[in-house]
Amino acid sequence: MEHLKLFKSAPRGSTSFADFVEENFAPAYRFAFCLSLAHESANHLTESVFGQAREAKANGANGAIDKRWLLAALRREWNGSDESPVAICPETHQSIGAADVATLNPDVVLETLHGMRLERRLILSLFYFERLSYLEIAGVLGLPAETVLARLADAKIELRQRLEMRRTQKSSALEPPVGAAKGRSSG
Amino acid sequence: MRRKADRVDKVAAKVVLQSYRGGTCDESDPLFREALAELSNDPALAEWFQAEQEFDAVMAEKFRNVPVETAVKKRLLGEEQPPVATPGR
Repeated sequence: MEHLKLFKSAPRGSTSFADFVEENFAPAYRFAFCLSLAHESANHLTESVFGQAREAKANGANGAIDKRWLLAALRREWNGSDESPVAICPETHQSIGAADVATLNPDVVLETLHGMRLERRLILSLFYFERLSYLEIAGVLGLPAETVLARLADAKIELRQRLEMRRTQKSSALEPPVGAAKGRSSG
Repeated sequence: MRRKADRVDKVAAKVVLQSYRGGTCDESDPLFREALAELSNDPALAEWFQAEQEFDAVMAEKFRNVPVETAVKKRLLGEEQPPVATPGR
């Protein structure tokens, strides 16, 4: 029950659905977009989950419907739609630094995030998009706090490695194909 | 044995500090206070932590730029009619 105190919520019964939408639409949409990386899917997900929220509120569950509930509902809605991302070997990749990340297009960062497994993408989305603490993330995902700490650490390492791969691939694409030139001259 | 214990402490501190965000309730969390205390004893760990915090700040800024489409919000608030259904949807 402790995690329920982590989010500010209005007193039971006092929040209208319109106020609820105003307050929570943007974070819910960003989270949905991060899950799906497509505005059409993000629209569909948010509309569906806010529809569930409206129904639950109409049925008297007003106090239980808060931001945490929304994010958890979005996560459930998206659960069946994960793809199989390409795995990387952690030992063989460098991590990107903050200065290099700053030069990357936000779309590249999102695409990189989207290439990761759902469980890691979820944690990173909640940490960076929603700026939730590890305890709040544990509440949304229904995981022990220790598991969130470990998964977030692993996810951040993987994200930095993937971003570095993207950065170096982009750089090498601009350079002349050294290996190919050597092959031609020796033949 | 002491060296091995130090390494374990450092690894554990890194795992915890990856989740730390300054200026929030994290500052009063005993788990973070303990891990942050390690920084004053270990310059390399402090340097790593600084880089980590800079990375987090840049990432948060990147994510802040995601545009939020408002058509659904307007529909939910009754300010806009739903779109006409298309086949196959």
